[in-house]
This record gives sequence, C-alpha cells and structure tokens, in this order.
Amino acid sequence: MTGGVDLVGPWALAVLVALPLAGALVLLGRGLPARTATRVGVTISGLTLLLALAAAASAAPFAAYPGSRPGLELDLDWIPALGVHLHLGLDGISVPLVLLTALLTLLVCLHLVRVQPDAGRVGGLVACVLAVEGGALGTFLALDLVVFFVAFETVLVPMWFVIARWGDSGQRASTLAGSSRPGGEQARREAANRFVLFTVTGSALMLLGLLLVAMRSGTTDLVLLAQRGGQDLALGVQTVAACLLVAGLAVKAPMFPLHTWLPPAHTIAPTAGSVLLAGVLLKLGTYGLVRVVVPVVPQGLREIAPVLGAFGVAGVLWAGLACFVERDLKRLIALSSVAHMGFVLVGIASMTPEGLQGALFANVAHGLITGLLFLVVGAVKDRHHTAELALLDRNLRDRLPRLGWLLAFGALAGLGLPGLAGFWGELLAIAGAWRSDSAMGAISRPVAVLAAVGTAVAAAYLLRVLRRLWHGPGGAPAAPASLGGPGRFIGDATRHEVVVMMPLVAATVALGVLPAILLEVTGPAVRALLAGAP
Amino acid sequence: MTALAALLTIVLPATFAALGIAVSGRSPVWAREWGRTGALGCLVAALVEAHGVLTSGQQARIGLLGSADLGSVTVALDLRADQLSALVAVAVAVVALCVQVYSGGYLAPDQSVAPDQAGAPDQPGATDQPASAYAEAPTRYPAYAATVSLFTAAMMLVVHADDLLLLLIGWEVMGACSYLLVGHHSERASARAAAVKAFLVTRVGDLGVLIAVVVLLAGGGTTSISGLIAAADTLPDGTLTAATLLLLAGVAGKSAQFPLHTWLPDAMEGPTPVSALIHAATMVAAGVFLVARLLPLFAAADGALAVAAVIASITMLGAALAALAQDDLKRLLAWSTISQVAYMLAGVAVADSAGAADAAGAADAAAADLAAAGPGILHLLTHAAFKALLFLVAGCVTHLVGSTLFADMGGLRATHPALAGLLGLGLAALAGVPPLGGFWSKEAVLTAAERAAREGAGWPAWLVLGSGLLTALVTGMYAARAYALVALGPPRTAAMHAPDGEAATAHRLPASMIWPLWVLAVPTAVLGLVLLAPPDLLATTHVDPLTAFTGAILSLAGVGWALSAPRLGTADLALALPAGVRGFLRAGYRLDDVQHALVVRPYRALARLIGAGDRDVVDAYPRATVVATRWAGLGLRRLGNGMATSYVGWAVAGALVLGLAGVVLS
Repeated sequence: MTGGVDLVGPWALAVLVALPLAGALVLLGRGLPARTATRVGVTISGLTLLLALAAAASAAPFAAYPGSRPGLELDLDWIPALGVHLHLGLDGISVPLVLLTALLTLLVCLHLVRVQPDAGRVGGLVACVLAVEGGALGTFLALDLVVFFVAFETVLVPMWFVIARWGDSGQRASTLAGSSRPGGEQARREAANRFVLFTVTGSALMLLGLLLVAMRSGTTDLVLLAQRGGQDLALGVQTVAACLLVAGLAVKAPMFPLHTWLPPAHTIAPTAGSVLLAGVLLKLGTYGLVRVVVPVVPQGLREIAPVLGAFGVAGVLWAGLACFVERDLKRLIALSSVAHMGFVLVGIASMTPEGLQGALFANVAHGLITGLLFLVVGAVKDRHHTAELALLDRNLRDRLPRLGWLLAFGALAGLGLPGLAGFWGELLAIAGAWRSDSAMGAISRPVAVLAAVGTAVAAAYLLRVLRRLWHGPGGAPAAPASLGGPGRFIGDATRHEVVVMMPLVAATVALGVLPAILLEVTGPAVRALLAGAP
Repeated sequence: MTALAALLTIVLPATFAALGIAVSGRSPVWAREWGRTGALGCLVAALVEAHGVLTSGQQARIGLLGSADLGSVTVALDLRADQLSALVAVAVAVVALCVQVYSGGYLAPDQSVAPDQAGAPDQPGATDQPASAYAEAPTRYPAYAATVSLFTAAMMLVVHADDLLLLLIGWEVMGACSYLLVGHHSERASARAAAVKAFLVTRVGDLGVLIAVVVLLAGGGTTSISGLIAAADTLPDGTLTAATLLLLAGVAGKSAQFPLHTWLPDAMEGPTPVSALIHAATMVAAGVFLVARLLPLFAAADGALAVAAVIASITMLGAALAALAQDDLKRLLAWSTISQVAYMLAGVAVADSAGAADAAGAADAAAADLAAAGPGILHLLTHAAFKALLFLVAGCVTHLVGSTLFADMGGLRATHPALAGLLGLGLAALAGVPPLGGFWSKEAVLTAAERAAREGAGWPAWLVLGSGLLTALVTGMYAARAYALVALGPPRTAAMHAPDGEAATAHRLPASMIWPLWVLAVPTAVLGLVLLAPPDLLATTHVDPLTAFTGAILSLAGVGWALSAPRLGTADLALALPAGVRGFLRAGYRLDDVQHALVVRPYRALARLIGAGDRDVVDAYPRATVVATRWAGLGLRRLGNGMATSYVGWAVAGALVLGLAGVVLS
C-alpha cells in the first residue's frame, strides 16, 4: 500500500461495485413512485461518486502494477476450483474511468429527476442506469479475466432494457439504417436487438481470446499476466489471442466497420441511455484493449497494430464525412463518437507512451464532451419532438441563448479545440502514431497525418450544425401541426438542465487547460504497461 | 514583477471573458463596462511588463499551466517575457482597449435599454445592426464583449508562450473567437458563411502547425520553444525542414497569405471593430510573430525562409493589385492587410541572423536571434497602429453613410474634416509617406531585403526587394484612391450633406467612437521615432537613405497619380483598368471559385458518397447476416421434418464423412 490519504480501505472497491447493483435490485423489487425512485437513484449514485473519490484519493500516488501493486487492491477467493479470484484494483488506468462513470451516472440520475422519458416506469430506468454503473465499475476495477468478462457482460442486459423499453417511440424509421419498418415499438426493438447481437458476437470472440490466454498461461490473474508480459506465450498464440480480443473489444469501441449498431442505439435510447452509452459503454471496449491486450499479449498486438491503426483512422475519416451529410442531429452526435473513438484506437495501436496517454485522455474527454452534447441535443429534441436538422428551429443563440451556448461549447470541444479537453487526446494519439515505427511500421506516419486531417473534418461537420442551428436565420421553420404548430412556446434550458450540464462544461475546460490533472495520473501507469512489452 | 505582469496579460482578459457572461447576463451596458475594464487591466499589465523587460531584461520560465506528461517526455507549459513579447503585447493591448471602447458606441448596446430608462437614446445609426435587434437579442453584446476579451487573452498567450503546445492553444482559440465574431450578425447568410470559412481555412493551415508540433516532439524530444531554439543546429535536417514548412502552412492560414488568404476578405462580414482587432494586432499578426519567434529554426532549415520569401512576394503584390480594384472600403482595407502582412513576413524572411549578431556586437545569441526579426516586427507594430486606426475610421464612415461601398461615399472632407484628416493620416501611413510610422518600417523591410540581396542571400532577397518596391507604388495608388473616393468630391448621400439640421444630430458620432481614433493616431504618426533610441530588438533595424528615398518616391508617385486622377478626367483610378481585369482583380483572381471547385465540391460529393456507403455498404453485411440466418433457418427447418428415416440417413452420411476425413487426414 502506497496510500496518499488513507480515507478508505480495499473494501471500498467491492462496495463501489455492490452499491449501485444493490440499489438497482431495491428499485426493481419495489414499485416505487417516480419521485422516490429518482431520489434513491441520485442518493446512491452520489454516494458512489463520493466513495470513488475517496478511493481515488487513497489509491494515490498512482503507478501501475508490473512495477508496483495497484494503489488499492482487494483479492478474495471466488471460485477456488478454477483458481478464480475476486481481484479488484484501482490504479492510474482505472481511476479516470471510474470517476467518469460515477460522475456521469450521478448526472444522469439528476437529469431523470425532472426530465423523464415519455413511456415506461421511471423507477425501472433508474434501476437499469444503476445496474449499468455497477457493471461498468466492476469492469474498470477487475484484475481477473473472469471477473472482467462477467462484469463486462453485466452491462449488456440493463442497456438492452433501456433502449427497448424507454427508447424514443416517436423515432422515425429512417434513422435506422436500411430499415423500412414503421417506427415506434418496432424501431426500439430493432435498435436494442442490433445492439445486443453485435456486442454479444463481440463478447463471444473476446471470450475465446480470454480462454486461450487463460489456458495457455494457466492463470486468469491480470497482475500476474501483465508481469509476465506475454513471455510464456508463443508468438502464434499471442497473435491469435490478440486478434480475438481486439475483434471482440473493437465491436464495443466501436471500430469502423463494426460500428453500425451504434447510431440506432444511441439515437433511439433516451437521453440518459445515450449519455451512458457514449460515456461509459464505449469505454469498456477501449479500456479492455489497454487493460488486457496491451500488457498481456504485447507481441500479438504488435503484429496486428497496423490493421488496428488503419481501421481506427479510417473510422475517424469515414464517420467524420458521414456526419457531414447526416440529417438527424442525435444520430450525427452518435456517429461522431465513432470518429472520436477512432483516435483512441489509433493511440492504442501506436503502442507508444504518447499514444496510450492520448488514448486514455481521449477516452475521458469523449465521455465528458459527448455526454454534454447528448444532454444538449436531448434537450433540443424534447422541445421539438424531433431531431431532424431540417425541422429544428434555427437561431438558437438569440432565441435560447443558454441552450445555444451549451451547444456551441459542446461543438467547439467536440472539434478538438485546443484549450478544451478534446485536444490533448487527439494530439497525443497523433504524436504516438507518428513515432510508432515499431508497432505500426510503414503506415505510422500516413496514419498520423490522416488522423490530423480528421480534426479538420470534425470542424467541418460540427460547424455545419452550428451554422444551421445556432447561427441560422431568425424565426422558426414552419413546424407540422402535429408537433404543436408554429408559434408554440419553446423555453430555454431550465436551471435544472444547466446544473446537470455545468459539471461537464467545467470538467472539459479544466482538463483542457490543466491536462496535468489527468496526464500525471495515467503517465506512470502507461509507462509501466509498456515496460512489460519488449 | 515582469513575470507577474506577463501572466496577468493573459489571465486578466481570460478571467474577464469567463466572468463576463455571468456578471453581465443580459445587460449589454454592464457587459460593455466589464469588457473595457478587462482590456484596461490588460494594457496596464502589458505596460508594466514592457517596462520590466526594457529595464531589467528578459524573463523565461514563467509557470502557467504546470507541466504535461506526454508519455516519454514531460514538457513544461511555461511562458516567457522578452522584448519581442512585450512590445507586441503592448500593441495588442492598446488595440484591444480601443476596440472595446469603440464597440460600445458602434454596436450601441444602450439601445437595448428601454428608452425611458436610457434618457435620450442614440438614433438608429449602427448600420451593421438595426437597433431593434438588440431588444430581440440582448445576449449578443455580452457574448461579443466576452469574446473580444477571450480573443485578447488568446493572442497574449501566443505572444508569451514558451511552448509550442501553449502557443497552439492560443493560436486556435483565436480562430474560434474569430469564428464567433465574424458571425456576429448571424442573421445574414453571408456572415454565417464567412464565419465558417474563416474557421475552416485557418484550421486547414493549423493542421500544419499540429503536425509540425508532432514532428518536433518526435525529432527534438521537446515542444519547448527555447529548448528547440537552443537545439536548432543539432536537430536532424529532415525534422527541421518538415517542421518549418508545415509551420509555414499554419502561418499562411493565420496570416492570410497566398494561397490560404481567401477567408480574410470575406471576414469583413464581421462588425468593423472586429476587423480592426483581427487585422491590426491579433490574428493575422500571429503568423508573422510565430516565424519571428522561431526564426533560428527557420534559419537553420534549408529553404524554409526562401519559401516564406516567395509566398510573401507573391502575396504582397497580388493583394495590393486586388486592393486597387475593390469597390468596397472594408474589402480594400482587407486586401491591404494581406499585402502589408506579406511585408512583415518578407521582413522576417530576409532576416540574417549572422549579420544581426555581428551588428549587435557583444549581445548574447538569443538577443541577436530576436534582433534579426526586427524590421518585420517594427512593421507589425506600425501596421497595428495605422490599420486599427483605418478600420475604426472606416467604421465611423460606415456609421455615417450606412454602407461600406465607395459608391455611397464622398466629400467627407467637407462634412467631417477631422475624420477625413484621420483617414488621410492612416492612409498616408499605409502608403508609406514620410515621416509617418509606416514609412520607416516599410523602408526598414526594404533595406533589410536590399542588404540581404547584396550580401549574397540570393534570389529570394532580390524577389522580395523587387516585389516590395512595386508594391510600394501600388500601395500609394490604392491608398490615395480610397482617400479620393471617400474624402474628396461631392457628398453622395444625405447623411454626408451639410452638417446642420436634423441629419447632423442623427449622425453625430458618440464620443466612445472618437477618442480611440486619436489614441491610435499618435503611434500612427510618430512610431518611427522609436528608431532614434531603439531597444535591443530593433538595434539592427536600419533604414538605408537610398532605399528609403526610392521607396518614398515610388509611393508618393502612386499617391500623386491617384489623387490627380479626378483632375485628369476619371473620378476613380480603378476605372482606368479594363473592365475584365478590374472584375478579375476585384474577385481576388477568382481564387474563391478555384477553391470551391477543387476543395469544397469534391468534399461534399465524397461526404455524400460516404454517407450513403455507411447505410448501404458497411451496414449491408450485418443485414445480410439477418437474411442469411433466416434463410438458413428455413432451410434447416426442412431437415427437422420429424421422420426417423431421414434422421438416420443424415446420421449415416455424417458418420461416413467423418470416417473418410479420418482416413484422408491420417
């Protein structure tokens, strides 16, 4: 134990996972009224955030485990017959994501206090949100492959319910790629099923990879595996394992061209679900790559790094260009996630300290910025009952200044403006790719340059949104009578909405101007992870 | 003290920007005073810094944002305060304060206050904005004032940065602010388009800076400016050449140099004080500043300064000719900015570090590096003064006339002699008429080019010299043409007729729009005096009498030609040009069309293609699996027909296949 401030002991890690899950059970079991349910949700997620902060403080200073043990570690026998331990730990790689998850869940629960989906019982939604949090925290804390996999899968089921039951029933079928079916129930089911089928397929591949690693090396303990750095695994085994793991995790990330589950899921999910999907679920994939693939099968990853990097940068450009012609605002933000996660994948594929630092930074930045954008777009959509760019009222800056400025801020952050959080991740991912001769070989520099071009592409599609919605000519376009008709009252962001969004704005600015907050936490861990790699 | 002052030049305006919205909310009057206070504080800090630097020398390693652990290296995000940063900072702060004061009158935030509260409100005169719009959009002015403050802070960050990452932050935040400010009148489609164009064109250039930072980080192992300068001679050639050329792309974007200058004339859609801010001391000057700051790197790299000299030479003359044909006062000034910034870039590009070091005598190497950029920086400073003055005068004229077109102007000297005098002063400085500030700095650039050419710097220096002398002539012509069209001749519109009666009271300029002009007129006139007792930065900046004489004759010839044009029969010198040529020049050589055809349209087509591909190609595979699964299910269902004989048959067939496989494989 190298505790900085010993506020809490290792037990806190188990509580971090158990508390939200217990809250979910309570809410599911008893049909609480909406008011009480959301209050319970806020209380539990608030307590989780406080505990996460305390745990982070206790785990500091951060270093990663091949050199030293995680700052906070809990190791209990779980399935002795299989040698599986309930092994949880908090180190420099997991801390940022644990805090991000806890923060976003609290904000989502707060958001649900006032803004609730049209259909379905709110108590159930809060329960699902808490279950997702518990599963995600379990994944981020896991130091055992089996625990990692179980927690990873736990997230799936509640998320399916969130999309299928509380999704947007008014969603037009056109937002589902290629679907000719009517919207409503059918569209929700289809989006939810698509999400589950894609990710379960990915999980199956990942499970094969995990089993291969576990069988060949005889342990499922991540600390042990990372200390060995893949030295007891033959190159062929490593390559096969890396292929399986990367393919499985890349579905979740998502990596181009496996991303087509994402736009419908994000678009149809209620605002709470979209924020969690973007801020938490996508991180499970990239976290898995950093936590499992990089230290456990480093040579294997090195073999396939060029492919991963190429697909990552292809996603940056492909999604960026697709966003430029996207007609649905929510779907546009969802697609832009593919572009942002492309930077993360490029950073990981580079296998350089810069690249991994960038990947971890971009992970957090994307969670904050896209979470904010989904909240803003959700607010816009709630007011207009549509997210079609052509149908939304223009000139937000004069008509709804608060919402307008939040949108403009989110867009500027999303295009990676230096001085805001999005910049550092992208810069470091590009810098990592540039000097990644050892992993990405000949394509390292083209990948870096193309990724840089991706930042200009991002500016193009986000400015298109601002030009239309934020600047736009005054006056509303004629709205169909079914949507309330012209002249309906549309209010600016309420105080409640602003309170929910401001923490994300503040965090985006803070990480943008003081990158050291995050870089110093992840830096030693990243170097330690790569030290194992020959 | 110097360190603290340098820090405050950034932190003060940034804080005022951040708190501006919160403090002023929907009250434009509060926002105006708040913005002015921030700008005043910034100016005081800049003056203290300049005093400190000039008396007790430079100061490096002023901590700002701590350090950044980039993985394999940790860089310190520090500031520095030296003569270069201090002098430019003072210019920036003066212009920013003038702009904040002037904007208060020009954009007339008082008008959003109910008339009975505000006493006698100004008449609707702000032509950029009908007064009623502020009642509808009360949040615009607070946002505007805060953005101007943030813009100032970003420029100060560029000026003081001792790390390329910090510089890049300021550099791009400025781009974002220019987007917000150019799009201020977003009810106009042209303003929305111009804002997007300004951001995107500069962002494309900024990719160069971004990649250059990555290259330097990989090749030099640091992003610290002083660290890189110290290591300039030991960096690999490839790294240096690649990085400096990439940086030049960013410089071309920010400083509106060919071929990335196309955003600047369109950016005239912004309110006129914004143009003054962007053109005079901040955004476009940042590019030249970057080259000056990193001059040792550029000097060490093969060919980088030659490329810069070529870009500057083309831009200088081309933009001056385009300015000659404009029929809009603001667009003429925009093209003149492009041309004048090219002078600055040329002045830096012909810099001769070795010669400067000799001339500076025993001065240390760092000072010599700075001094080499002296002529370009001196022109930056004088240009900041006269261009800000010109734009603010242009704003007053627009305020009076209700238009920016020359066709609506004329006779200003008869109706508003003082304003016409200030306009004349600014235009004379632009033309380089002795003994105004613009004359000395332009001749210093030409002298440096001439000296470099004679000392064997090769063809780039000759190119700069030739182009610079020709440009001096053309500049004299278009400056004097502008004066002739605006100030001479008969008044064209009712507003400019006899200054009595109702029209005069309606178009009286508020005091807040007048005194910034006088403040800027002083350095416009006398900044050349700085050469009498130059600081180290300008120690090697000389004006050769012969070159100065040639330059002055050329610009005076141009001025005389344009001023005498009315007496020779044509009211407008540009009408002497054939109509086709005039249209071609006025449209900026139709480069916008080229850019549209080569970049914008292919990009849109590609995006449409990919948008369709995302639905119909990439997603076709998952959907195909759905179909395939369904068909497979239908097919396999037939096998499960419940007949035992069929199952036995399949079992036997399976056993046979397995058996055969076993035999063959073993």
